[in-house]
Amino acid sequence: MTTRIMVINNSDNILAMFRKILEVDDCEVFLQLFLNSDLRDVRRIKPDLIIQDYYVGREGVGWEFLQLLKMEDSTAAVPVLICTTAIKLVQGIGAYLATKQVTFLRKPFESHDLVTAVRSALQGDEEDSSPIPHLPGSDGTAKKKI
Amino acid sequence: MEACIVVIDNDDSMRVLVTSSLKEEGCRAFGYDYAHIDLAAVDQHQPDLIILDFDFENAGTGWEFLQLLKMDDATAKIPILVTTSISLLSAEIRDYLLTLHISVVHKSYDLKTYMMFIHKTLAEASQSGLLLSGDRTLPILVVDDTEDMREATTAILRFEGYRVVTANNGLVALDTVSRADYCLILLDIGMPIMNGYEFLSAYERQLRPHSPVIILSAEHDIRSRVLPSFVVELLPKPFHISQLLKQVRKYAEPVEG
Repeated sequence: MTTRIMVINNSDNILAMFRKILEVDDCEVFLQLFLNSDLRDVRRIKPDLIIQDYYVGREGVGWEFLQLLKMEDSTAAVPVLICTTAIKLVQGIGAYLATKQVTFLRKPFESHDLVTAVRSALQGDEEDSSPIPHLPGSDGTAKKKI
Repeated sequence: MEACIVVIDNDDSMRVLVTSSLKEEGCRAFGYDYAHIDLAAVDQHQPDLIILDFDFENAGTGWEFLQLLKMDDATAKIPILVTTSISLLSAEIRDYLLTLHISVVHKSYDLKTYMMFIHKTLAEASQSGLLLSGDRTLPILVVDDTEDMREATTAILRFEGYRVVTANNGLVALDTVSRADYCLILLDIGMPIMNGYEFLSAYERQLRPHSPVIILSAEHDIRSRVLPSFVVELLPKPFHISQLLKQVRKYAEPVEG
């Protein structure tokens, strides 16, 4: 079954890089600019995972979207991976958010960090730190399974 | 020191000052502002160090470019020196960034201090096994105007462990070879803007040492032409992948193995 990942970011370049890393044989990647993110897209796409950015001091857009997502029954169960530099936030409320299927990936990160975090979020097992058998681009092959 | 350093700073005067100073010390230094830099440009330079100047506390183009550099496997291991106006950064954050080969220094307009940090970062990179460009396995330059051919050749070579940079015509290739060294050039002949023969002629006039060139072409009259001595092989198209790799192995070393 195809894994559907929705990535929300405010940079086209970063979004394109997410697609390059995550697009795999049995995985579909849907890109969304923060500006256009909408719960209707989540309902339509039905992602298995949402990856979004969180900037310190720019709480508004990303945080509001997360709140909406978790308030609505049809989208509340979708796991969310938040990419952030805000380590204090993670330390403060990370454990609480984990109960809501919200996990974090510290920025900046390399491609293998992302693959590991996505795999962990999809499995819902935070303790899974087993090595990734294939890293996208690391051995020249174009497509790998997460 | 012949390190290759890319300096990215929106402050024109600071960028010019730093690149000039690095050149005076024998480095190959290239300056960009954020509007004129992308991953392809970085990949072409194959730098030993990238210097990024940006406000570390706020999201923006600097942070975005840093994240892109780390997400791309081709550039993720290049050491980065961030110069920023932040004076306090916790030891925990510094330690995390160092695991990604990112050093952060408080912005200094004292050139001596600035240069000292650059040398320190380069020395640390060298000690940690991130070797300088002169010691590294050089990449292969693939020059072909046909996108499918260029991408297929690149994919095969990367699969075999080679580092690859591409150019889509002779003029782009000429600019590329003037800015970095390559262990081998795979050259198509029939290309727009500047064809393979014109490239060879212009490349021959460059004073720097020439990389070996393997010509990949469907043209039949190549063997009757007088070619520069650095053209080491002719591989007529269509060729089998094993033929190409056999020739490539004579002149290039994969990054691993």
